Formats: sequence, C-alpha cells, structure tokens
Amino acid sequence: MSYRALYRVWRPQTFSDLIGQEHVTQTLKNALSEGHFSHAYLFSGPRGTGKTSAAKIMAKAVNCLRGPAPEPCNDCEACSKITDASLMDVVEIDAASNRGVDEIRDLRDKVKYAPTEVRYKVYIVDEVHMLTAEAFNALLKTLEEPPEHVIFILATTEPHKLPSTIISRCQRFSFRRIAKNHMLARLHVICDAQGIEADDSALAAVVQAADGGMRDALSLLDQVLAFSKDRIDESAVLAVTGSVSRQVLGDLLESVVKRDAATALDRIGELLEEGLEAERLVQDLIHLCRDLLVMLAAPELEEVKNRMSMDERWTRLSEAGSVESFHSVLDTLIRTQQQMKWAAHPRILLEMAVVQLCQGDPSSASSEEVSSGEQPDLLRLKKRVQQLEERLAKWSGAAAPASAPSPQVSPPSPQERPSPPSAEPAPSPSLDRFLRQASAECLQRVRQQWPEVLSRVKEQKITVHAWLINGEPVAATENSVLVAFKNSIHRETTEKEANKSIIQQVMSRIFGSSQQLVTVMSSDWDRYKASSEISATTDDAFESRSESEEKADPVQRAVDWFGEEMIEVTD
Amino acid sequence: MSLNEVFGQQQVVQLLKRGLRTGRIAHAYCFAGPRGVGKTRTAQQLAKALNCLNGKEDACDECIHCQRIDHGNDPGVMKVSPDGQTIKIDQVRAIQRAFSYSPPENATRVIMIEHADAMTVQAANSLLKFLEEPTSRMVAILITENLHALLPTIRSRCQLLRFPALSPERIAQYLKEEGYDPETSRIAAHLAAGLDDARGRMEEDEFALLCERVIKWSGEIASGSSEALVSVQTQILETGRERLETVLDLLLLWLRDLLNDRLGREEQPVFARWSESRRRQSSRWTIDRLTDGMHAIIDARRQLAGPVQAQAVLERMVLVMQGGAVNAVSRRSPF
Amino acid sequence: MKFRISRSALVEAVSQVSKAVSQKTTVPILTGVKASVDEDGLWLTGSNSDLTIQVCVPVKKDDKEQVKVETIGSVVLPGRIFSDIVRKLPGKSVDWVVDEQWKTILRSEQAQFELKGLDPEEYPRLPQLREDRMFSLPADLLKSMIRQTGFAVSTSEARGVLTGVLWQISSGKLTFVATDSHRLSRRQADVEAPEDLSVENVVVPGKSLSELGKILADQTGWVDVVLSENQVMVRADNLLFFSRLLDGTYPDTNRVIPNSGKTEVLLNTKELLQSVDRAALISRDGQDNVIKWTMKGEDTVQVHSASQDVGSVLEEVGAQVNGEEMSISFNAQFMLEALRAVDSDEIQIHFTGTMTPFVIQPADREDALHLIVPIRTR
Repeated sequence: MSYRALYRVWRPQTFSDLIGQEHVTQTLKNALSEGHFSHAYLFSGPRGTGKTSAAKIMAKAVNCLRGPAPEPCNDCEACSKITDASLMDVVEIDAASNRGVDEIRDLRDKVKYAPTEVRYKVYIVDEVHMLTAEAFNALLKTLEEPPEHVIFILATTEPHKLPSTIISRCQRFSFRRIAKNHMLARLHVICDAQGIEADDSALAAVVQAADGGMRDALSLLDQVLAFSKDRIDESAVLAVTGSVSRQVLGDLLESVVKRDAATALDRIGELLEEGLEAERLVQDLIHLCRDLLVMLAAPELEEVKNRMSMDERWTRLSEAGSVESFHSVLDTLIRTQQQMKWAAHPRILLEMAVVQLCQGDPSSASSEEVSSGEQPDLLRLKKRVQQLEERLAKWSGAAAPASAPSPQVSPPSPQERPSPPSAEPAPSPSLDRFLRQASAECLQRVRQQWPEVLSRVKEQKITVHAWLINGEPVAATENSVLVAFKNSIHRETTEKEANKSIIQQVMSRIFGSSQQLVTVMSSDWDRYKASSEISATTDDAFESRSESEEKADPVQRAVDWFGEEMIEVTD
Repeated sequence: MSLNEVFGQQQVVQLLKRGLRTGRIAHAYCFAGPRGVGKTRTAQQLAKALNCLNGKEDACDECIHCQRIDHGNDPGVMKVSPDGQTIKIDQVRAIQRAFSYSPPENATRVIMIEHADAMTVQAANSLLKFLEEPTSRMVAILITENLHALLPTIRSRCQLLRFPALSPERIAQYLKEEGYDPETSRIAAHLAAGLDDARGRMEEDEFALLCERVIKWSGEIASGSSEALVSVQTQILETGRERLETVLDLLLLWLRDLLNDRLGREEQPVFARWSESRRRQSSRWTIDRLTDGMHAIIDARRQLAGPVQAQAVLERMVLVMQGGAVNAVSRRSPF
Repeated sequence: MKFRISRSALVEAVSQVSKAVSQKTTVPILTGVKASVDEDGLWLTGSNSDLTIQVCVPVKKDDKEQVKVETIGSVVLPGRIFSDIVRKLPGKSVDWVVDEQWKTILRSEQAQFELKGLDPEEYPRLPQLREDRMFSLPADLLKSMIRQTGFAVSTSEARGVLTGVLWQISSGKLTFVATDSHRLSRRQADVEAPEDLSVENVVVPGKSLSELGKILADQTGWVDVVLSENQVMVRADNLLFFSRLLDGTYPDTNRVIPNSGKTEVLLNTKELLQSVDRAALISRDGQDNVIKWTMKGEDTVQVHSASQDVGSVLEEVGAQVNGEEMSISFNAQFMLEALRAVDSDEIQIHFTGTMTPFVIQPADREDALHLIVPIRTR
C-alpha cells in the first residue's frame, strides 16, 4: 500500500479527538448519554473542520455494541466495521456524485428497510449542497417522517445552498474554523507521535497557511516532510507554501514606506527571480499590512500581539504609517489581488501597485489622508493648521513675488531656508548670472518632476501646455528654471505674462518653493554651453543622477517619505 | 523524456524525486502554475517514474512501461481534459468506475486531470470523496493554470506543487543559446508563457517590426497627438485581431520600461535597442500617468477577450491614456 | 511472423475476442486485437482492460490441421476492421505475414489486404497467474451459480464493491454472495480445490460475470479458475477469460443471516411465484412495490397488495405454516427474482420477526439461500 496521507491516518475517531469543536461535541455527547437524539442532523462548516469525521463518530456511538455511550468504544465489531466502512447499515452517500432525484428517491425507498446488523441505520449525506432542487424535495419527504430506526446526518461546506425547509428539519451544528492555538497543539501531538521533529516557528507557519482547516494543515505538514531532510523548519514550510518570510516582506514594506519605488521594485524582482509568484507575494503583503493595521488599531489583540511583538521593527513600521494609510495600502493591494485573478501580467500589476503606493507628493498625500480618513483626528488637524499658519506668516514676511502661490497648497520645503526666494528677484537675469547659482541637483530635480509640471499645467490651461511642451528644462537654481525652446513663437507665447504666471504657479506648487520661469532659445543655449565650462552643473550632470540622488538633502528625503507634517526640522 | 529533463522546474522535480526515493508520494497532487512551464510534462514523467521497471526515482524512458505510458497505451494511466468548455460529471464518474477495479500488481495508477479548474461544480464535488479516500495505490494529479478557480475543498485534499513561471531571463538566455537574436529574444521571453511559446514568437514573421510599430504608437500617445488615434486604424488594427493581444502586451512592457526609466531603476530594459525612444518618451509621462496608462492597457486587453469591436476598445484606451487622470482613480502614496 | 490459417477457425476466434474489444476506450492500443502465433497455434486477445478474452486456434483440431506456422511472432491489428476483413475474405484459408514494422499482409485467394499493425509490446500484459491458487468445477455449475446470485448485485456505484459477487473458498467449498444490502443471495458448491486453498475476499464485477455466463454458454466440460491479486481467470477449452477484480473489502454478511426462525413456511415454488407475480400487478404501480403476507392458521399464506390509485388484490396460497401467526411486508420484485433463481419445486421460508430479514431456501438443499429485508409499513 502506498503512503497514507497524515490527514487520513489522523482522522479523529472519538469526539474528544475533534479539536476546536467543543460546542458541537459536548451537545452530541449529552444527547447520547441521555439517549434522545434527533433523526436528522446538519453539520455545516468550512473544509477540514471535522464534519464527516463527526458524522462517522456519531454513527459509531449510536450503534456501538458497548453503548449507547457518549463516545464509541472503537473496539467492538460494529465500531470497527463502521470505521472501515464495511457495515451495510451505515451508508455514506456522496451527494455530489449522486445528486439526482432518482438517487434520492432510491434512498427514500431504501430507508424503509430495517437495519440488519445494528440498532440504527445511519445515512451520512456528504456534500449535501450539491443535490438538485428535485432531489432536495425528495429528501424533504423523508426528513419529514424519518422512520424510527434511521438517523440522517447531512454534511456540507455550503449550508446557504440548502433550502430552508431542509435546514428547519435538522438539528443544526455549525463547525468552526479551528482556532490557531488548538491546531498548533494538535500538530504538536501528531508530530510527537509520528516522531517528527519540528520547530515551533515551522508549525506556526503551517497553522497560518492552513487557514483553520485541519486537513489543510496535515496536508501541508505531509508536503513539508517530503521536502525536508530530518527536521522541519520554517524555511521549509515557506518554501512549500511559496510564501515569503516576514522579514523579507518587512524589507519590502519599508521601501514602500520610504517611498523608494526603485528599491521596492528591485526587491520584488529578486523575489520573483527566486521563483515566487506575484499572487502569493501580494497575499503575504496583505497579511502583513493587516497585522500592522491591527497593531495600530487594536494593539491589545492577543493574536497579533503574539505574532508581532517579538520584533520591534514591526512597531517601527506600523508607526511609520497610520490607520488610514494602512487602510489605503490594503485597498490597493486587495484591488491588485483581484485584478491578478484575470489579468495576464500579475507581475506588472504588482509593480504598478507598489509604484502607486510610493507615488504622489507629500502635501497631496496628507490632504487626501484627511479627506479619505473616515474620522479625521481633530487634534492632528488643528496642529496642521497651526503649522500652516506659521508658514504663512513666514511667507508674508519674506516679500513673496507677485505670483506668490497660495500657501495651503504649497508648503515651502525646508530646503529654501538657506536662500530665501526674496534674494532672487531678477525678472530676466543674464545667463551668466543665472548659471552662477545653477546646480546639477536642482536641474535633476526639475527634470524628474517636469512631466508633473506639464501635466498640472495642462489641467490648468491646455493651450499653455501645448506651448510649454516644446520646451526643455536645461538649467535650474533653487528657485528658477531655465527652459530652452527651439522655436521663437513657442518661447514668446510661453513668456506672455498670463501664461508664465500659470507655469510659475504650478512650478512653485510642485517644487515647494517660489519659482521663476526663464526662457532661452535652444540655439543661444547651445552656443553658450559650448563657450563656457558649465557642463558640470547642467546638462551632462543629469547622467550621474543616481549618485547625486544618494547625497540629496536628508531633510528633503524625509519629507518626501513621510509627508510634511511628520517631520519637524529643528536647527 | 524523464523528470530530470523537465526544463526549468528543478525545485519541483527534486521534491518529487525525493518523494519517489523515500516512498512518500502523496495520493493527490495539484500542479499549479502558468501555461507552458511544464506541468503536464512533469505529471507524465511522474507517472512513468512511478511505474518504471528500471528507475526508482526517475523514469528510465526505455522500458516498456515508460513507452506504453508515453503512447497513452497504459490503461492504468489516464488523462482527462475538458470536453468542450468544461470537464463534466460523467467524465469524473468514468474515472471513478475505472478506479473501482483493483490495480495490477506493483502498478501505481495515475489519473491526470488537465485544466482541473474547468471541472463543473458538480464534477469537482463528485471528485471529493475519490480524492480523499482512494481505495488502492493511486496518484491523482490535478493540473491547473488557475488555482483560484479550484474549489477550496478540492485544494485542501491535494498536495500543492507550484510551478513558477520560467523567468524571462532564463528563457532569453536559452533562446540566445539556440542562436536567436538576443535583444529580440529578450522581448519575446517577457511576452511569452514558457519556452516553447517564446520560441514560437521568435519564429513569427516580423516580430521585430511589430515592436517598432508599437513603440512608435506609444510615442504618438505620449505626445498627446491625435495621430495616435489615426494609427489605431492604419497601423494597429492592420496587424490582425489575433495579434492585438500581443500588441497590447508589447505596449504594456514598453510602458513598464518607461516607468523603470522614470523611477531611475538600473534594471536592464526589455526593449534594449530603443534607448533613444525610451529617453524621449519617458520625459513626457508622469509616474502617475504611466501607471494609469498601464491600467488602461490591461483593461483594454481584458475587454478584447470578449465580443467587442476592437477599434472602439483601442481608441478608448488611447483617449484614457492621453486624458491622464480623468478616467483613473487618483492613486497616491498613503505614507 | 508468417503462417497460414483456416478461415472458418479464424472467423470463429475473432468473433469471440471481439466481444471484449471496445471502440470507446481511451487507450488506443485496446481498440486492437492482439495476435500471437507460436508452436501451439494462433492466440487472439481482445480486452477493454476490465475484462480480457483470449482464444486459441490450435495447430490441430480433431486431427485436422488448422494453422501452419512458418515463423512465430505477434502483432496488434485494429480491431473492428480486422474482424470485418476476416469475415469477408473469399478463400478457405488465410496467409498471414507480418514484417518488422508490423506491417501485416492478409491474403486469401485473389484478395490481399495490407494493414498497419502496432507494436505488441505496448499491449497490456496479462497477469502472471499462480496455478496453486486454482480450483476446478463443471462449466454448468459455474453458470448456474452465476445465474442464482448475479441478479442480486447492487447497481449503485456509490458502494462499488457491492456491484460484484463475492467469491470465497474454504475446505473445498466455493461460496458466491451477492447483495445490494436490501436482499442477498448466496450459493455454495463443492469444487475440486487443494485442501489448503482459502480465499476470503475476491470480488468479481457483476458485469464480467454476466459476460462470462454468455461466453460459457456452449461449454459443457470442466473449467479451471485461477486467482491472482487483481484478476480472476477462467480457463475452458481453447479459451481464457480474465476479469479484473473489484477493489475494497466486501462486508461480512454472515451476521445478517438468521439461524433459526419463529415462523416457518413450506410452499410450492411455482404456485408462489405465480401468486407474487399477480400481486405485483398492483404493487408495481406503488412507490416501493410492496406486498404484504399474512401467515394464518397452519395452512394459509394470505397475499395482499393495495395501491391508492389502482386498487387492491387479495389471494390465499396453500402452505404448511409452523409457528406464530404474523404479517410481513416486502418488495415484490426481490421475491420474484429470488424465486426465479430457485430450481427446486418446494421452498422453505424462515421468518424471525416483522422487521427482521427472512430467508428463502429450496426445501431439498442447504447450499442456496436468498434473504430479503422487510419494509416497515405505516
């Protein structure tokens, strides 16, 4: 005989073996010891929770030669014949294979025959939800007046598919998903008995993946056994379930929290290269985010406490976000997970989701947070308003240019402090003067954000966008941008006061500080570039951006990651 | 062929060989993974290994048992696939009937169910008992590309073996070794499901030309010009309806390259040859609009699977991509 | 492979094996017929993998040469076309040549067919049978044992093992048991078997047995039965019949059969059969085909059946009644089938209670019995 799966070897044979279903087994045992039991039972509940096993135990208990007793002896002839399914009076019917009205009519006729060997004929109708409507009607007739010597036990994972007329004629027992601690304890018992050495963390991972189904857990354990050499550890379980360890997920989530899309995508790339599936990764991420959310929202919850309190990085990670932010992460991930079920490119969907989670400028993120948060925290709002007011005051004192942006949408970046905008009022500085203050960092920042500028300008006024799109930013200072045009009409129209002010407003908002637009003809610019040693600070420096990015202002990076209101700069 | 010769599934193969060696082969497996990664091939080799006269942990591929199984002439090794759209309850009943007989001595019967997710609800449910309480030595292998579509009650009775997609890098490498153009191989590998599919694409006429066309179209979309709509008719639909999926997949991959470029990722682009177009086009997109655009492509691709007018779908997609955030949900970092 | 064979002998053999060949099989090679020629003659094999029939055309039959072998070998030929060709060939004999690629030429007088053959190695091999698990009995006895039990097998595949007949042997006694769990038939017979041969759980599919009954129809001599782990083989003259066995443990039925009765009735088989047949005219319209018997006095069995829509029937049958008066209801069809399987003129019925199974036995012998489970009526 081939290898017997653990879930078959360890099928419960007594009510006390049935873990986590005490609410069911106690009632059944009481009924058995008092000797009055119903003629129709309905056992419902998720897969792997012991419905069919309970039905068989029940069949034994009522027919046990040493009974009737609350538990079968599992030793007498009746018990052992029921266990190996050779007792003709206990009939297991697979309603999924025998779902038609003919089969049930046949059953209805056959129940009239007296039991031949034991006290009660027991019909165990498994997967009863699969019966056709006519078959249910036929069954109903039998359940209405069951003969004295017959007990029906209907078992199903989907009780909602049963007609209420059937349900109302049965004594109903709802089996529950097996609680994690119960399942863990049972796994320990089985491992000990089988001589299997297993790490606690490994069994915990099995329990996690089993999702409340004992059969799932034992199936998985079997599979891990096939995979491991002598001892079961967590990594073996994760390899079998295709899951990622929480530490690796934590790394990934940290990149997202830091809004470092490039690193996050690199991490995903590595994981997928190792053979992990994008779907699985999303699912694991959802689990982790859910735990983090619970840590924030209900820190005293035992379940999460047990799982998460071992490592303080989870505390750090959870505190980097808020209830709202994790809520929204979960939204995005769950949406992605659903899309993956039909889309052909799960990997790209995952990448897109991660990019989106890293996207957006801090100010709009915070404003969305306020609008999307169901119950905005008043205290925090007040604090934010206060901060904004302070900034406003600073602004008005600093002689803002005519096109000063409205402060509530453009909180100034801390970066502007070393050189306030008022220091650069020149409406059209000569190239020389402009370039003295130009820096590669600024240009790089501008180029990075330029598509954003274009798209915001388009939102404001589509014609301006049409002109501006022909220009290319070629140099930038802290608060001005030099744009080169090939065509003079484009340049001139862009320079019109109304248009220019729109562009400057948009730039100010995006770059977080007041910005001047300066324009130049491409031909002039090229000539100029050729004649002076500016490559270091302008165009070509763009190529080495990754390096310069590393050195970007840490404050600015912090702001980018966490949003304005989370950072307080103290000199 | 034998287990050892299954391409690119070392982990699964090792696991099965270990099971064969130690006698821990389960009675029910679910082989899940994308198309073209070797699921059925592996199942077939497992059936041979289980019945091989010479090998214990792999098939010798020479003995009469191995050959019979390869030719479908072993009554103890059955393969079931959808009859039309679905696998019907009668097909499952036929399996159960065949398995009610006792097996030949020393034989392990194997039943392979291809596209197991295509079982009707009735068929799947009627398999439950059979999977849970096999009466004799047998191995059932349920093969699926869509694990989610299997009943959880089925899944919980099987040992799940995941067949990861072959990484595009490996496929590309393999194609390169076979003498195909490396740059185009890279694109085909990203596009395809499995090695055979990728090779098939390389053999297609004018594959490189199609890439060129898609990138040009993308440029038109990015610049916001109405030329992009004209191209739908003159360039894109012209490639033939059956290639539209490929066109959209190429466009999606191209936008992904642009996205990586905008994010400043080091990763080698899929379209290595078009670095100039990439630089030029990527400066016209914001990251948000890129992801929105990619969503639009994915939506369009899904719509094309149904009975719709392709032109309308593509035009709408172009408009959504050009209209930026108008149709897309605003997606912002919560952090 | 090269030989000449008498066409009539070939036609006869092909028609026998064709009974086992199914065109519906999913295994391509099983749509074929396997032919092997060796010093003994030509062996043809047909199979649908559940049952297999092998027929031999011996080199000589009644001193008449049927097969002239030049070189031995084997081949698999497509079943249906092969049997059609053989039937329609013109001559008295057929020349048969097969090359290394299993290309087969069948020539008879002016007609010559060329068929693509298949590799015989791919044909499923028949099981190795150990002759020590063998017993012998007359073909007629085997046929009647099949007839007297086969009808009682279950038709429901829910409990697969009950669709077969249980074969048991101990101390030279062969027992057949069939039940669908609401009635049971058992037949025993002494056979020629090794003293120590003991068989407990061989379950032969009911379908195979009815095929076997047909195939043995003309056989009159003794047959050998050989058992293996998963097959049973019946060997008659120049004919081998193999059937796969059903998997699973057959339920122990001995407990079900009551040893003594509270009421015993002796009746004439034919009279009773006719009476039940009449009562069934009414009962078969009802749901359960129920008829009711009441044992009255010492010499009467009252047969009654009523159907709401049709009407009712009442009849008295003469009998010898010993024991308590009682009434019992049961399925008329079960009774009819059991009575038809009884060859004796008189039968004896033992009742133990209104709700417990009762036993029908031929009055003159102990080796056959039929058991019926009563129906509870309101």
